[in-house]
Formats: sequence, structure tokens, C-alpha cells
Amino acid sequence: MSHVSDRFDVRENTLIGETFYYTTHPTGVRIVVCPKPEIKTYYATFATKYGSIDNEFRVNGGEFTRVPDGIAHYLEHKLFESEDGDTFQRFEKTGACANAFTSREKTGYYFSCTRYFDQAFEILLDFVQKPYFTPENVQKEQGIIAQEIKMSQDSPGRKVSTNLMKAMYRDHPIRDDVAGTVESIAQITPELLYKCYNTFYNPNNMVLAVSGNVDPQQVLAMCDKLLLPRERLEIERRIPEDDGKIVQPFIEEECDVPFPIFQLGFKERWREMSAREGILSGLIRKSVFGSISDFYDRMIRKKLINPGFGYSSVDVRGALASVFKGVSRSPESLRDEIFEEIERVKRDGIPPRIFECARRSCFGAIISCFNYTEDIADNLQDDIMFDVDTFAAIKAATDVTVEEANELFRRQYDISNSSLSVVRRSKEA
Amino acid sequence: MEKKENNMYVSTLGEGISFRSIRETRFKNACIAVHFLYPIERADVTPNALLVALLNRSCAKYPQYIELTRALCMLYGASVHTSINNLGSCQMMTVEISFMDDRFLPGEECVSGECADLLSEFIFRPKVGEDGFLFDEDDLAYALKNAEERIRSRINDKEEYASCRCVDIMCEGEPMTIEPGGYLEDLPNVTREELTRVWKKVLSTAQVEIITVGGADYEPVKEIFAREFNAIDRHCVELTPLPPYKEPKEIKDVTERMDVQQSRMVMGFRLPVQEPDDMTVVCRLMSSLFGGGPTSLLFKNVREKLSLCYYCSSSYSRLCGTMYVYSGMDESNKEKAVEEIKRQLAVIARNEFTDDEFEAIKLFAICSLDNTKDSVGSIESWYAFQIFDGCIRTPEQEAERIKAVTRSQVAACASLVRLDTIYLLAPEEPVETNEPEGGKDDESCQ
Repeated sequence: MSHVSDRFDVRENTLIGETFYYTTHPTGVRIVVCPKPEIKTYYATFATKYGSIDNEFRVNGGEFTRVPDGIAHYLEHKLFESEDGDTFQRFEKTGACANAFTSREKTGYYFSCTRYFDQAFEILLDFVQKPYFTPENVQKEQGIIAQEIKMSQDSPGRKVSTNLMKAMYRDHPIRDDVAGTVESIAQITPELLYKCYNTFYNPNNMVLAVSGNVDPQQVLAMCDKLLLPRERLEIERRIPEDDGKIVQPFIEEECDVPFPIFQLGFKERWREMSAREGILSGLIRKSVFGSISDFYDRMIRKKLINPGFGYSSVDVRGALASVFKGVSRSPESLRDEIFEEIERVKRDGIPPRIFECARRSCFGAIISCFNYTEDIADNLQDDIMFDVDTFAAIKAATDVTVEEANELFRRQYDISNSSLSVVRRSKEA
Repeated sequence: MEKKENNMYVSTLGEGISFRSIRETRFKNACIAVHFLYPIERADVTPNALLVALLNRSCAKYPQYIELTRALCMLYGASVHTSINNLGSCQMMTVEISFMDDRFLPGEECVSGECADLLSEFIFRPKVGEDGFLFDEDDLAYALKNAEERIRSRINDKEEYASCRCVDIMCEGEPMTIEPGGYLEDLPNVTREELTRVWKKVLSTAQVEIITVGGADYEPVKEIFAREFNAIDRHCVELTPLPPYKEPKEIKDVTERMDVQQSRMVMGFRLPVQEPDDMTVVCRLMSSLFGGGPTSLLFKNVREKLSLCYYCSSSYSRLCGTMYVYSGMDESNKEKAVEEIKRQLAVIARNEFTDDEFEAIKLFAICSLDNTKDSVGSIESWYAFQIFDGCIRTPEQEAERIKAVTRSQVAACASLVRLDTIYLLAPEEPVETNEPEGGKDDESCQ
């Protein structure tokens, strides 16, 4: 059900019992509000479609600029400083819990609170729109971020995933750490930060999502007061061409881990996935390799996996893959078993009964997401930013068929285009 | 006999067995949890850990894990969790099921009744072999292999590892050092007979707390558990008192080296305030003011102002009367960081923090309590973790206690804190300035 109420496009979903209010603000910021009057926690997130892979870009058809790795994350840290002091201290008075994150394609600033929503919302919109970078405050951040980079280097799990990306992608920036390197962040200056800010924090590149005990009209009235008009920019991002083929089928690093850790990735040629395909991909992984599959049961019995075995997808502009991960005493044998299973499923198809198990469980998980204001706002924001049809995804969880899954499976899993990354203790040790 | 306390229906189903039902129609899901509480015994720790790893993998009705997971998926993704937690000198073993609220299922479908039955199957009719012992040999081999991998892999998480090492050194010989996940050296002695023994012991001697949260009528659930527990010959044990306060004699300062890029430091403190002392609420506020998030003194000074650590935070255990400060840094900053952390504690003890900082911490604590009421899981654990406290409070009642705390009470608590141990996990070689490439993949950075 959909209708227009004042300035909102109002869409109700009876299956989940929620109503979403969509609008594009005159400044260009896209806004979505999901009222949850029965929940005490308010959540608001203001994000830009800008992440660690956006290192080369141009504006309004000008010259391309290359900026240092890790600058999006650095900018996120620095935006919390303002001329009149630290933003966390401003949030203190509202009891809100504020934070931010940078991923491959998105930088998000958010808070949750149970009281003083209006005040916290005002602070969020204010600080994200007011950068304050000086040589001193930019310099000071280097120590903290260098420590953050070092901390992640101590994680064998991070090593195995970074290596997988290097084995699958020759030039794509997904190879690099979101935080950059100690060397790359040393090149960051206030001028470069302003350049990135003025490009990517343009209102028509930003999405605001709110959920909680709010009136959408009042949220919009606050936006009218707080969102600053800016000249609209056309941003063009450039990432190196990728031929869709892996770089190498195997990569290994020695590290003092008690048991080998692995990730196995199946690379696909990049394309925009529809909401329905996204749901199907998850259902395929669950029904073919998840704990409801005969394959999983067999691998547990063969002691090739443990309960930590899992899977996920890489879906970043220019990079699309399904990834399997875990601890195994013989990652190579497990890979061979996965290859065999793929051939078998391509031939025989996914058992319809197992697919129905996966579908029902996915339906339950989607419905449950709509309990939490954080999940609601984050998901709605992602859907708007990356052009995913929220309603199509919910509907897909009710009516996808095993025939669609089999068809997609045959296209998704190409054994000759997979890479295995292993971190294990040195053979001498 | 049922009585209504606040928004909760409470009844006693037998000796040491209470049933609490919290009616909530605000959520799309629901849960039923059964908690078993008993004194920690070192000899039972490893079999208990293996037991919880196996209990949710089968039952007499679904002897194979694969059949069980499929059945749970068909119930729209219901899930059964088991866990084990140390609470002072006791352990809490939990078996719980969470599932979708019937109102959100397609058509006339209904899963709540089936889920309640299934939970009772796990507890009262687990899978038993022909020899009368729990599970089968394959299950045991599976649990042993996973336990070995899990225990050996503890070292992969450097923050967690450093934190455990600090507790081991500071609390040697005390129950806090007992690892709920079990010990490698015990694994060869764990048999199915042993698992059967510990499960019988838990069922017949532990205090039991059953908590339900959701919109459905839980009268039938109560009946199921009353009937099942009645059939067991129970002799409920007294819970052992909390470990007593030990005044630190001298500061233990231990450095261990490993192949790491960044040093992790954990400082362990003791203070003579434990449950059921009314002052625990003050100590929690004191610890939040000291190192509980971005509004805390440690974050603002040690991390933001002086850039000595990437992270620096504190946590207080109201059961053990201990407080830990966790930080990540370059080894060269250790002395400066220790001094600054001590200095910030002294600032609180001298009552020199600002009114703004104090009010912010109180507001923050009150808001976290508001937040507790916003999910089935957090409502359930709020009540479960109060079993020790002598009286059960609602989040609103706890908020009133926080409002009443004064600055001078917080300062007085800080002045009771004594440093016991400084533990540093440091790189093998002096840190070089040129870093190799490395990092994370799909995870984002905060």
C-alpha cells in the first residue's frame, strides 16, 4: 500500500506491520522515517555513499584526483572535532550513544538515545555538515589511527581475508585495508580532507534514516531547519578495470595459529544484484552449504569443518563473490569437497525440502529485523543508498522458488574462478 | 501460587524452581529460557562445557543434528541456544529457545506451543544411547575435537587473551580464574558417563529460573515445566557466597612477549564492594565515569587528549569486587599510560570531575536502562542476571537508584580502589616504524 501524505511517499507493509515514510529533501538529502511508537530507543543515521574504495574521482566532469588509501576513514575520525570542541561532549548532555563507521562504500554517523531525541538529532546534523580540519588536529590523529591499523594486523582472521582479496583481485581497492596503511595515512593533509569532504558529503550523495517514537512531519521540519543547501555535484568514481578473473587460485601465509584458518572465494563478474537475487544468494549458501545441508553434515563427520564454518558475500561496486570461511585441519581437502558438491548440485539441483527450510528461516530473520530501530534505519538507509527495493526483498522471502535458486547457482559458482586463502603455522614449527 | 510483581507473573514450581513470565506484545519474537545456577566446582567445569555444546544439537525426538536444524528452520528459524557463565563463585548454565511471535506468521500458523515442547525435550528427553548414557560416541568425539580447537584458539584474540592472563595472575586460586569453557588437560577424561553424571547433578541440585518473554499465553509452558521437574528427585544446593575481598599486598607487574604488532595492557584493581552491598550501584557509575565509553575520563584523556592508547576502557564486576582497565598501545607508552590511568582514578577519588561529566554518566546509565526494555533478549537477561541480588528490580527501579547517587559517594568508591596487577602482552622485538601491509576485508572500521 502506498500513498502520498504531504511531502512523504508513505509505504505500508502489512506482512511486517510497519510503515515507511520516504522523501527527498530540497537540499537533495534522501530521507526515510519508520515510526516505532512502542519502542523507547530512537535511532538516527546520517551517511554518505563514500567509503574506502572511493580513492579516485572527479566532480562535474573535471580532472580525476587520486587520494591516499584510508582517507575516508580518517575523515570520519576527524569529523568528530569541531571549532567549539569535541562532538562526543556535545552528545553527552543528551544521553545519546553516538558513533560512526567507514566501510568499503559507506561512511555512517549515528546515535541511539531514549530521551532528548530532538537535541541529539540537531547535533548529528550539525557536526556532519561542519568539517573542521587543521594541520594540528590532522597530525594528532595519526598516532591513534596507526594504533588501530596495528591492532587489526594482529588478527589472523584479518590476514586470511586480506589475502583472499589479493588472490581474487589484481587492482581493485578491496585489496586494501579500510583504514589504509601507516604510510598512506601519513600523506593526509587538511586540504585533501576538505577535497574529499566537499565532494562526497554533498547532500545528493547522502541518506538520512530515522526510526523510533517520532512523527515523520516533525523530523522533516527539523531537517528543513538544519540541512544546509549546497550546490549539487555530479560525482564520477573510477576503479581499475577488472576482467572478472581471479589472480591466483591459492595463497598462503605463515602465522602462529593453532589450526589452519581459511577463506574460499568464488568470484563472479560484477553486476548490480537485484533484491531478489540478494535473497536467493543467501538461500543458496544456506541450503547447499549451511547446517541444514547434507554437505555440512558430511563435512562435520569427516572432521573437515567445525561449528565455526560460515559463509558471506562480497558485494561492493566492482567486486562480487561468495566466501566460505572457518577453521579446518585440511583446507585443501575441504576445498576439493566443496568443488565436488558444486558439481553435484549443478547436476541434481537443490532438494526442494531443504530450500523450503532455508526460505522459512530467512523469512523469520527478516521479520525479526523489524524489532530494532537500529536495524530498521540501517537497512532502509542501505537500501536507498544502493538502490535495493526493500519491499521486493521482503516479498522475495515469501515466494522465491527452488527453480530460480538452481538457475542462479549454476551461474554463481565457477570452480575455475575460485581462490583459497590459508593462514597456518609454519611447517617447521 | 502466582503473584504479580510489576509487569511480571512469578510462581514457584517446586523447591528452588521459579517461573517468571513477562508479557510483551511489542515484539515480533519471543523466548523461553531455563537457567540452572550452582556452585562452581573445578572438577565439573570441562564436562559442563562439553555438555552445553552438545545439549542443543539433539534430543530423543531429533537424534541427528541435521534433522533438528531442519525442524527449527521449518519453525520459521526458531533457535536453541545453550551457554555457560561464571557468576562469582557460581555458574549459570542456560538452555533457551527463541522463535517468532505467532501473530507474524503467515495464515493461521502457530509455533509457540511447538517451541515450548521442543525446549522441554532438550532438557528432559535428551538423546540417550543403549548403555543409558547421554549422546553417542560420535557426538562425544565431535565435542572433544571442537573443545580442543576452541581452547587452543583462545590465543587468536589478543585482547581476550591478555584479559584472561591478567585475571589468572591477579586472582590465582580464586574462582574468577576458572575458565567456563573448560581445560585442555581435562579433555582425555571426559566420557559420556561423565557427561551424564554432571547433567543429572545439574537437573537435580541446581537452582532453576525459568523466564518467558513474549505475547503468547505462557500458562501451558508453566504446566509443562511444573510437570517435568516434579518427576525429578531434587535436592537443591545452597549457592556459595561470593569470593571475599582481598587487599592487594604488592603490585604484580608482568610482561609477556608474543608475535604481535601492538601491545595490550590490562590493569587489574580490587575494591571491597560486592553484591548485595547497596554501594555496587555507585561503583558501576564510578567505573563508567572512569572508563565506560566516549564520555569517560580514560577515553577523553588517555586516548583523545594524549593519544597514548587506541582504546582504553574499564569494567567493574559487582559480583567479584574487581575492576579492569583494558588498553592497546605502543610498548614505549606503557609507563606514561599507567601513570595517566592512575591519575584519572585519583581525579575521581578527589571529587575533581566536573558536574557535567557526572550528570552525563548518570544520564547515560539511565538511558541504557531504558534501552533494556527494547528487546526480548535484553529483557530476559536483565532478570536472569539479577538472581544474586537478593531482590529483583525493574529497570525503572534501578534508574531511581542511579538518580540518587551523589558525587561524594562516587569519589568515596574510587578512593577504595587498589591496583593489584599490571599485565602487558608485548611484541617480541622492539617495534619498528615501517609497517607491512595488512588489515581487514569486509569489516568496517569504527
